[in-house]
Amino acid sequence: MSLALAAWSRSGIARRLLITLGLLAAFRVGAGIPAPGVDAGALRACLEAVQGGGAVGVANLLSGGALLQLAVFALGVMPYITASIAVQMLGSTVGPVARLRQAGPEGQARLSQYTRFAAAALSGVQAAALAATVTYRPGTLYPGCGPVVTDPGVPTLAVLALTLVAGSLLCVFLGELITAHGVGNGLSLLILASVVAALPGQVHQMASQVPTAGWGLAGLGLLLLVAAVVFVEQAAYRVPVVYATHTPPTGAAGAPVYLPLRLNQAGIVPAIIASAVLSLPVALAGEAGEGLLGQAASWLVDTTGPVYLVAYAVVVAGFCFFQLASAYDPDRVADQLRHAGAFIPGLTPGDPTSDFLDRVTTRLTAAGAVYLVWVALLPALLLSATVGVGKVPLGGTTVLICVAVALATTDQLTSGVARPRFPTLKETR
Amino acid sequence: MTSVDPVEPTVAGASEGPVLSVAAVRGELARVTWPSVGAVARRTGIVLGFLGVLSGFVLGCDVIVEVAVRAVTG
Repeated sequence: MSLALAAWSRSGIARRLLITLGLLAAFRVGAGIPAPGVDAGALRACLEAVQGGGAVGVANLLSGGALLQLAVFALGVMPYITASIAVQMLGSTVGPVARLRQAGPEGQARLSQYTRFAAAALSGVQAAALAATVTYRPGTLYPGCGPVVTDPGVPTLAVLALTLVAGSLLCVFLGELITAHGVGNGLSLLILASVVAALPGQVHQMASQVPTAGWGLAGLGLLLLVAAVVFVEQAAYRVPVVYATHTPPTGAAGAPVYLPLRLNQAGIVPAIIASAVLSLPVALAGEAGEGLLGQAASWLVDTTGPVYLVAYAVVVAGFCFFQLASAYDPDRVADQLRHAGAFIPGLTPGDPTSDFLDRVTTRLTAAGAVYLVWVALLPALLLSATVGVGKVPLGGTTVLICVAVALATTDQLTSGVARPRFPTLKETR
Repeated sequence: MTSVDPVEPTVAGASEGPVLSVAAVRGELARVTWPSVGAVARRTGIVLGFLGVLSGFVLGCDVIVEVAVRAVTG
């Protein structure tokens, strides 16, 4: 025990952990303080009447309830995540952006800068839309509610919108600080903190829908789902790699080193994006009335209906392959192996290695897409079949986010403790 | 220089056939290294513990902020 504590304090993990907790606390403070111009008392009364379904529900969940509370951090990091995906998409289709991606650290730094600009523009649009809605049509977000801002008008709208943009950019800054000086991926941790903050409300809503006799079954199902996600997230195709010319980066000289290709190559982003994309038609249905869009939206409202299931599977699979195409370049990996004097036994370096990696990752991604669809939809389908609950607020996507981010963060924590920390030059003097 | 061990695992022939078919995906899944039941149970425990601690911290922060906001806004 004392050895573990000594290793803990030596590794510097304690300091990084404290920084992470401090920044997470700052994030939750921003998610709890109402933006200027908001009538906090009126808003509190309105929030009790909100169910939080559809696009607003998804966005509210990913902001930890800050969106409907009109907090300073109401938009959270989602504009930045959306901008990152857009830049990634451009990187695989538009020549100049693709060249920047391949231009090494300098190009990557330029791309990061463009992503921040795009995030600022996107959060500007979202903030303006949200501010206009709560200023002039609060009933759209809070059914049956009157004004939720103290002085409806252009000055209030402008201040509110600017605050939300600044809040969103500050969230990204906090996330980047956590990544640089704390533990784990900062942006993922902020999303996890938001999801966790919304959990009590979701559990309460679920408990009110599921009969008391089904609570044990639901709890057991949730535990099994968490274990299943851990099982698949830890699975990997370990491609053997041999270093022919020098000592490999890990392991003894000549010993086999493995290139791990995760089964879920795309991560959790496709499931989050699919939930958001499919909730858009539902949000637009209110504006569309009884037309074709309204009819399509009514099919998508039923999350256990065949139309929703097929649409969800198609969107998740599409984003899985898009994510693979934009984030994993088998040619580059094959080149890196060749430059490091390494090869995959049975394959010659260059094109055969690249083709092999391409085929394996494509097939693993297909299996990963099936896994993501099942995990995201299984809770709703099972509860619908067993206890007759059609709409499950505590969806599989929430479980996916929680488990995947927790796994990555605890991995970094344990590897940080295990890694010996050498004294700095200053300490040795 | 290190020569290749003749008993080294090899991937030769591992990814032949059509790029995407049910049989090809199943073949690839057969080569995946799956974690043991014990490892999954241990990691599940760690994940749930981590989420429990994080939930407690986040909800604690939220309660403090909520009390402070109510005190200020009335």
